[in-house]
Amino acid sequence: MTSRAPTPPEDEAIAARIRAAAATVEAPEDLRRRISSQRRAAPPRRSSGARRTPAIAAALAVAAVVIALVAVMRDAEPSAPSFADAAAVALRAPASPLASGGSSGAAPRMPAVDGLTFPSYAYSALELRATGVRRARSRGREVVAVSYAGDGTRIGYAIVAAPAIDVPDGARSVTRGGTRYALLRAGGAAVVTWRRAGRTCILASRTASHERLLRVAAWRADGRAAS
Amino acid sequence: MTPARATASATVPSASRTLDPAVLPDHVDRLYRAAWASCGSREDAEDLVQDSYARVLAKPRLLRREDDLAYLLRVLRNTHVSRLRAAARRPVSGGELRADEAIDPNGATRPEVALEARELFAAIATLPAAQRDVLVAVDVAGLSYREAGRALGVKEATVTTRLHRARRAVAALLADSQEQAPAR
Repeated sequence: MTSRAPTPPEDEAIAARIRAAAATVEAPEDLRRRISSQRRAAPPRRSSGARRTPAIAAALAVAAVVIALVAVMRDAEPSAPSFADAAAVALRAPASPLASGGSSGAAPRMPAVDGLTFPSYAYSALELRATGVRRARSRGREVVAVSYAGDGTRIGYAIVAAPAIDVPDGARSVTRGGTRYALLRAGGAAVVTWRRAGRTCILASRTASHERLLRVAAWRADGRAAS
Repeated sequence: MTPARATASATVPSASRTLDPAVLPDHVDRLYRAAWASCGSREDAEDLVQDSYARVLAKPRLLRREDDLAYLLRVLRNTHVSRLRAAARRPVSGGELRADEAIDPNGATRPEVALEARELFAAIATLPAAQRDVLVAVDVAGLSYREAGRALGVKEATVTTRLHRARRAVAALLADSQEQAPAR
């Protein structure tokens, strides 16, 4: 071992304080469960040339940042969730995989909120695959987010149960195909929001641009994107 | 008090070996601490750890003369840097959201301890990257100076110098915040 000068007492004091504080911190159980799920979904190690499973490929594309969630389970006020709460759900990594489509190779079953189903872009030109879902409640209101990944990007799509919630002031407005979209930034992430059948829809991503999010938001099942 | 040492491998192997996925859960706590001190945010730390594990699990990983924790910390650091660069490339448009961060009582055993960890990690996250990385590796994650040097790709003497500066900087930050705190 390389010989070193003794650590100054002042340095040792702050080092001890950091070490003591760090020793008290444990990873949340939710994080442990997600990592265990990742391990189970990981490709087998028998062949070094094995291709990544779609689930792992999607996880690699995840680069979302959580703004923050107010302690929603402790707040029973029946008032509207804040936009920041809902956007934070969209930006977080998924908590669980999507339900299977049934037959082998079938696309997963997409969840719904208030009868509004999340889109499946599986066979579209958007080249996005749904990788998981996160369900939350914010001030008594359901917020569901589906995570999509593809081409090195992760995009979170959140739908807030009716009625629609207010968009923060200062957002830039864009209209495409008759739908009005609001563009803003949240903690370094690009966010696009609009209303769909009276529900607030939010697309958020740390790595995709506003333009990309707008193309996703404006996508229609018939394959044509709104101009 | 000596830093806690990585327990998954007692010696640094001289030959290359493949990282065993079965040992990954052993390091979640340390990686989470390192991530929190790097990001300054508990929620960002969770995502950073999950993303880092996803990268590691994507394919077999070959370790050369480093132990599991040191390798995982290197992956965590690189993932964090990639995320910061991606965020820096995004142009600013529209309004900026503000959000408050709630203290998570599950983050530590007692609320006052949680506050101490939160304050320290927030200070560490503001350090210049070179200082932050060595402080996280040695004082937060518990690597030795040699292990930290290998993980960060710097000489042990460089670790010593940067660690000294990082510790002084954190002490100064905490002293400043105490001076500005209202009297109780």
